[in-house]
Amino acid sequence: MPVQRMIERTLPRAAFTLVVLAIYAFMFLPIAVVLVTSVGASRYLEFPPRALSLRWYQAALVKDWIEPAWVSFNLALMSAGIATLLGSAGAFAIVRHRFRGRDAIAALLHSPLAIPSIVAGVAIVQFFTVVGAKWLLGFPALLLAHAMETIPFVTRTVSVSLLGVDRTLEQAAMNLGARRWQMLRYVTLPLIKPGLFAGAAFAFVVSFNNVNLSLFLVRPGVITLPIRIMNFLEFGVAPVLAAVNILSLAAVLVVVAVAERVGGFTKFLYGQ
Amino acid sequence: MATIPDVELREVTKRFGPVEAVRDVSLQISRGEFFTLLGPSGCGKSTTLNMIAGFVDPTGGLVFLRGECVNYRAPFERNTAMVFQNYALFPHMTVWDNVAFGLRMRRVPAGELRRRVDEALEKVRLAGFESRFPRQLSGGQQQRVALARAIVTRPAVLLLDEPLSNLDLKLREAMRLELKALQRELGVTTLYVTHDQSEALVMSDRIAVMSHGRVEQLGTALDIYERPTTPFVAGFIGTTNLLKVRTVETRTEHRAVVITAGGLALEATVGSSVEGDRLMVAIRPEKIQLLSPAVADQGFHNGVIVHTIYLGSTVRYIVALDGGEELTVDQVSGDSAVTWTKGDRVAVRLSPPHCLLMGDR
Repeated sequence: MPVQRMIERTLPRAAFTLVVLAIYAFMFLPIAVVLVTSVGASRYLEFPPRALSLRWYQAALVKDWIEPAWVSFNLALMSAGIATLLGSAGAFAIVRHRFRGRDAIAALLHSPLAIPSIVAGVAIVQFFTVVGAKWLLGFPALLLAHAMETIPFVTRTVSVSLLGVDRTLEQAAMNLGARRWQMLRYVTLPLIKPGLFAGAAFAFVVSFNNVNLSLFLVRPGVITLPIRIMNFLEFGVAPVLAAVNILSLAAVLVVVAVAERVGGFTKFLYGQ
Repeated sequence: MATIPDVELREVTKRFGPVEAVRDVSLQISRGEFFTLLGPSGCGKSTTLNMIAGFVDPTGGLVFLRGECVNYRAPFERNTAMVFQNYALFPHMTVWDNVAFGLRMRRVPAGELRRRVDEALEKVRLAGFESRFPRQLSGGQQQRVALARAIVTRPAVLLLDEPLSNLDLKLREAMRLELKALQRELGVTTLYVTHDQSEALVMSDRIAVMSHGRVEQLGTALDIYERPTTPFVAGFIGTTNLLKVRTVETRTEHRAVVITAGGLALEATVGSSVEGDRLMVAIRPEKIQLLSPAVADQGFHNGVIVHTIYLGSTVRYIVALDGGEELTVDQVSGDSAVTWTKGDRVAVRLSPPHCLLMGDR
């Protein structure tokens, strides 16, 4: 990693280590605080807690929290699935073909990153109203919006992976008698698998944490976990939120770990 | 014609926009033949190979494999097997899976598949490497996997695209002989593409020398070295003295007396292709005889050694003839014969059979 080497050369070793530790502390200390707070016994947020208890986990594992968590989990899983299908199809078109409007489509596929999602959220509600499809609000609308929002992540990672696939490997496959789908199935897809799963994992996390789009698209009975947390916050902060946070973080980590296990996407992120 | 050639090209042409990469190439390769397309990069040899494999569609002309026109066949329907310059081994598959790939695509039953893969790996001396991944192998081993992966499918023609160019010199020379021996043993029809003339001369039954998309000359190694028909072929294969002809004094069907641009009068053999605006005389450096002026009589040209280069088995002299023409002359070194040094006066003998008159077309 040349950037790292550059920094290492200019900063003395000890200072470098210190900076890295500071960055990690910045990232992980808040989570540690939440974790410690979540096992406090007090009715108020307390750090460090004077007594330990799992009562807030008990309070978190009720219908009021499990239902939105389940909605978010399904939503993230399904929109990641859709985004992976469409995003990688887009990546294939952009990387592998030269056609009129290619740049426009590339820009379109990346545009959700450029538009503030709160604006997109308003626009989507307006759109469904105008075309007389307000009945889609709730899960279908959430799914469409989240899939759209997460497509760029997949397009990016899959494009990068595809660019790294040597075309002669595909020629070799065809030369050895593989039809187009067999070439894809046995050669191309295995080679871009890390990028595919990296994109899918990004899409899952982005969808699971999304507030801005969901804000406009939820309806009573179909509410996502981040929106439920936000609503709860209007009435104040309580230790149960810490427990909810830790549980949802654990759920996300499990999904990401499974994706890593199956797809080995850290290979994509950090090289071999 | 008694037998159908395994590969036949009829007036095959490929244009990329305004560029004619391959022009009117016609050739036939018979069963078991080792045929080489030889030429500098950009001469169209790889494009020709890719048209046979089906990766490139010809703009004109017909491609036949075992008597069947394959112009409209997809690569996977052609039964050719290619060894790529970079080997193109599947990095996510083991050696075994790489070699088995073609047979799996052909739905070969498990028992036969296992037997044929084992056999192919044995042939390239890679038994025991089945579970390795390509990145765990040396360049030479990777190349043998690529070869095994190709021959295991028993193709109508084995296509080799500069397969030795990524190996170091020693290994390259060893692989030439090994490859040739394997090809003989299997009797597989082979089309070899290379820019390396010594590779072509060592391995091929026949060679087509290509330049600017055209076949300049097609023949055996001997034909091409001893009887080049164009200045390009004469210059590309080995070293050649190419002298421009100023005037033709007399000319019969087989012999001509010409005067070169450097004022040298010599008798030359008329080649098979003497069309073109300018005529040239090609003389191989090792076919020229050097003598001391004292013993020379009629028919010698006088000159002076301007440069000597020791090449190991031969010594190369640059001789400036009194008329002004300069010649490269190779003499066997360490011989009892005289060795010359810079400034020595010498007599040069150019024998008519070794002076080839050709047109530049």
